[in-house]
Amino acid sequence: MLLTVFIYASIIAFIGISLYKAYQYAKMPMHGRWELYPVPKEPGEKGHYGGSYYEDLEWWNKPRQVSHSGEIIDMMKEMLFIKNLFVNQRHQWWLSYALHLGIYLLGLWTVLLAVGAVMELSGIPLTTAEGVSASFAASMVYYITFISGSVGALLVAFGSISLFLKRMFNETFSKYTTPQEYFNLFFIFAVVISGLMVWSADPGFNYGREIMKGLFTFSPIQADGALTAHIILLGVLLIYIPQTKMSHYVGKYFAFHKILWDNEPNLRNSKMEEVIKGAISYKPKASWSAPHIKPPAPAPKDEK
Amino acid sequence: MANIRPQDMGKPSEQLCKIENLMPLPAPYDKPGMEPDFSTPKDAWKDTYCTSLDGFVGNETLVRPKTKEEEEAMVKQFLTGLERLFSDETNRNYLQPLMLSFEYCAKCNTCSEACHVFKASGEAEIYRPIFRSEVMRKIAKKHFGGGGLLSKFAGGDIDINFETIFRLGELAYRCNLCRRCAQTCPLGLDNGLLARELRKVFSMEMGIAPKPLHEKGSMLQLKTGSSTGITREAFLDMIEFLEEDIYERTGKQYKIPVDKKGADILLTHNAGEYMAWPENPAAFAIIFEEAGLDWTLSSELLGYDNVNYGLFYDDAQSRKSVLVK
Repeated sequence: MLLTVFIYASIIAFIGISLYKAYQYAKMPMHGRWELYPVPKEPGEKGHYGGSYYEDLEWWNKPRQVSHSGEIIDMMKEMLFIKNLFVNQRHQWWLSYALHLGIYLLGLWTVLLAVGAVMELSGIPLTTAEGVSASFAASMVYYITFISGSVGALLVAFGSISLFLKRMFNETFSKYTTPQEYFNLFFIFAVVISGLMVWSADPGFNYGREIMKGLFTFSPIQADGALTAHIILLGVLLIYIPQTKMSHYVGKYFAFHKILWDNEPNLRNSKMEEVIKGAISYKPKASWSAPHIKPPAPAPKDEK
Repeated sequence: MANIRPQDMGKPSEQLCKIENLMPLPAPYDKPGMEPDFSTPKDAWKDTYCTSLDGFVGNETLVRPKTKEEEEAMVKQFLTGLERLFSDETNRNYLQPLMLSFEYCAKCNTCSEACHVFKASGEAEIYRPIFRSEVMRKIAKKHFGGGGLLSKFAGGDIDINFETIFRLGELAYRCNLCRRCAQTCPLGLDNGLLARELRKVFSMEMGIAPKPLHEKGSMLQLKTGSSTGITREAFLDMIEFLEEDIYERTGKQYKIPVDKKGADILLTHNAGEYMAWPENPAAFAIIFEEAGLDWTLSSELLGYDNVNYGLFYDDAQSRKSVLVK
């Protein structure tokens, strides 16, 4: 039962700490404009060549046009394919994308394990004594779980260890890599290797569905030594990730949407005007010390 | 010193890096005899300024202290400034972008290829965009993390001594904030912004900023209303001079339009051009007139001088400069 509770705790910690991190960034004071063109939410060609509403005559009298599709397409390219790395540093992209694609596939695998567990709990078994179920839906879930889980884990293992080795042996990378950054990559690798060891004894991931069933019914999970070690390692990784810079899934949102792509104008009676009024009315309780900011106090007059 | 790492910023060395493999200049400067003169730094500068980074002096107000106590005071001042950088009281305007670029860099090194300072220097390590940022991270992690094992594990493994801070005061000005690094960063982070944040510590806390930006830049602007000190009358005189100069050089008499109502194009130059490179506004005038464009210059302050030097190094100065406008 302890394992069931631990799995729940690690999932809650992963989501909770990630959300807390997002909240911390969201509640930071409004920052000065620092956008960088091209801004993809600018409609039409402007979003590509680096233009903006500033090119329109009397733009302040025209309705603001924002291309949400342009923003979402660029966002998806970056999220799903790491486009900037693909365009600007292809060698690194192969390794980094292997890791990230592996993580996405393992995300899909987790969902499918849950779907499979729900099906089995509902009386639709994915496997029978003869092998994989003859039911189309059940066999699809079984095989896609198998492919996403195995390919995902192998990709994560390859990506994490190849990035680790590159950081170690590439002269430039090694100069800038901290002990923690080596540890992070190796930690991911160790978790996946422990998972691959468990998987090798049950390639159909039936143990994964059993864990899901245990979670859904809040009942004890049957686990041998290897599986217990894997669950504990994975759980600790989930708790650890959002506390490190591996939580860049949070930071990336703010870096692009709230800084590089945020060119919202300050128009009269707009929401932005309200935000700015609030920001400039704040009176800081501390200040900087340079003479042009805080002039030195005049020397006291000699009272004789 | 060969094979420099960010941790070497505080290591004793007369000069951390020698710039020897500058990128060849493009045409026409690639022909023999066409390359402009390159004046080498004076030996006497070593005693007064910070030449221990790359031998050059970009920040002439960064003056070498006379005593050990003054050196220690400078380090202390820097660390106080660093604390103000990470405070939502004193750095409200840039805390969020600073924290993101500070926290999330994956050191994938994509930015290096985009940085013209790094590439044109013959890829001198100290100009790699992540070098400066990593020095800053190491100092901050050590200072805020206490310098124990945990902060070393996170990367806080650097000596925070006088030389580290002194060299950083120069290194903060080996970036022209073009933000090409941010344009290529897969995480949307900005080494230019971090360079600017470092300049803020030196300027806003320690009162150290290059004279062309501060004393002869934003301070002059706040005093006279114009960063170049040009009044409206002086600007109009300048335009007259330009017309005469063009006539003498080309034999063509142009009337440069100023404050022309209803013109299609309002042309605004960098204010410094009128003083330092008047041939540039003159060239524009010739091209625009020959092209038959309906254009004008403006004799209003915002029309001929809309620069804000504060944007390059100091939030307080940039805010004041906006208010002047």
